[in-house]
Amino acid sequence: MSALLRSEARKALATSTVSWLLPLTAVVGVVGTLAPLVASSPGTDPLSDDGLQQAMHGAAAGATLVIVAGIVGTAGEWRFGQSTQTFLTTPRRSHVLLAKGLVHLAIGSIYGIAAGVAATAAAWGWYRSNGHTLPLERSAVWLTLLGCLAVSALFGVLGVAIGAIARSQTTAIVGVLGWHVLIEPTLFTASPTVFRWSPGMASFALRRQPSDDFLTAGPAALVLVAFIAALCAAGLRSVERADVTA
Amino acid sequence: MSAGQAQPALVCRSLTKRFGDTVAVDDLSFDVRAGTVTAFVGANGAGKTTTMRMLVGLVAPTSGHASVLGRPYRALARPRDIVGAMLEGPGAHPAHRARTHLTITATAAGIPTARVAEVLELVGLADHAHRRVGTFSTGMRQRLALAAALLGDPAVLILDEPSNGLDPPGIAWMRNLLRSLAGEGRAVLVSSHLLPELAEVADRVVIMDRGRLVADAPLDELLAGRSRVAELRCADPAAVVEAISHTGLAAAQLEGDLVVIEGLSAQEAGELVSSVGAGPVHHLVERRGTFEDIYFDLAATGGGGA
Repeated sequence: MSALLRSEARKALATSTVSWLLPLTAVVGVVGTLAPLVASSPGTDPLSDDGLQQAMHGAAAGATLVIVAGIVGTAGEWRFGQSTQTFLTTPRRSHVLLAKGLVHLAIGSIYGIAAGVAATAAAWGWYRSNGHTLPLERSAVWLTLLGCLAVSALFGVLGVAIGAIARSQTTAIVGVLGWHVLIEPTLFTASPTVFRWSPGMASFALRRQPSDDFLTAGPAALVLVAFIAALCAAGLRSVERADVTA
Repeated sequence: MSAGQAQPALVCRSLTKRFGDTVAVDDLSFDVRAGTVTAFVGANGAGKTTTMRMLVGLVAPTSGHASVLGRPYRALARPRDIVGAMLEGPGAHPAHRARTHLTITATAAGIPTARVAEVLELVGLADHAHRRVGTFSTGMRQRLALAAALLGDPAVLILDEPSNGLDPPGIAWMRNLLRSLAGEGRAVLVSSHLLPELAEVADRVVIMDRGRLVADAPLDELLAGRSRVAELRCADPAAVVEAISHTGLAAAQLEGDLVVIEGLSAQEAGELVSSVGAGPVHHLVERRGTFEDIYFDLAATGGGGA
């Protein structure tokens, strides 16, 4: 398994998409952190727990791009015929998916750390320019950043699962963006009590975006992990049964 | 590396594959033995590629089974060390460099990465190791695919149209390589539409037509079954054709002023022309039936899609 992990890691790192999505995720994280601070109304206390969470949860604003990286790493194999070489080398397809999942868990973690560091630096600068000090020791800050990191890491595995199910890079990416950016928020707005259990809303809760309608972080983490596990099982079934014809 | 002689290196037994209502491979059985080159031929869509993919576990058979050295491919612990397969291009990301692509494969297969440089040298790509695969010509992509197949120094090779896109020197190189691989004791199953090229290297021939097996025999045996053909031009070709029709020993037909006689040697045809006074002879050659003749006789769709 370690040889397969090294091979999959090398494969991912040799793909330029994975490289340029990293700084993009960090940039989106910085924008997601600064935007609520800049747009906050004058009466808002930026040092309250809500104020800190409102700013810092933006560090994971680019986590959707981690899903994209996972999709590219899995569905992309079918696009260029790499799946033939991969399964000739490792006929046990479950091992390949497990290795991809672990590699993209690590890639998601790296993206999450990079975005967290960039977002924290940006927030620190904003607080300082407004006469405050960002209280890194407060749990409202570091638990939010930990939640962002967890979401980013889990989204890497989610991307692998979706890529394994779809096996079409474009379809998977368009579907994920459509669901995560448009459909899911719309459904949540229409019925918060039902759709707070949806995976995207659970991820917002896990990264501690302030809202009375979200689940708390613990149940949100369980919902997200269970959802990803179900998709991984579906992806494995799909890949195991697929004829590799190109 | 040797596949040994005791058991066939590759076995297909009653292999059938359906894609929906389409029967791509229909009850196919054949063996490939060590130390031989087996030519696998058929028109486009005959089922060759699907069969090769079933042999290496990429496509699941609807029924029947395929094995490599007695085991299903998917049950092999280190398959790259046993089977090298070249199926429709290198299967590389176009942005990856040739060396990177092979290193990724070698790493996953547990093959020392030093082997990458060896196979790049072997296929003539050593000077292009750092180029991105997306910039490669078709011939270079074929060579890279072959390099990946040879990474594990396997005893069995499954090569799907390896000469596609190669230039004439490349085709000659491939011919020599196939000969030498079989000479080292490896079992080689190779498909191609270049029948004269295959005839140069093949020991055995498996011909498919519309998913079904139509021939599985040593090439020499198939060629030996073909009669001699004499072709001649002379002063009175009609007299020659008429004389042959009376003998019943051979069949003759007139193609313009060319008399084509199946079943006679050049010497016998010349003596016949002389005996019926149809001379002088302007042109006289003798040829044997070719692999191409055999193929077109046996594969009903051979004239259409190949």
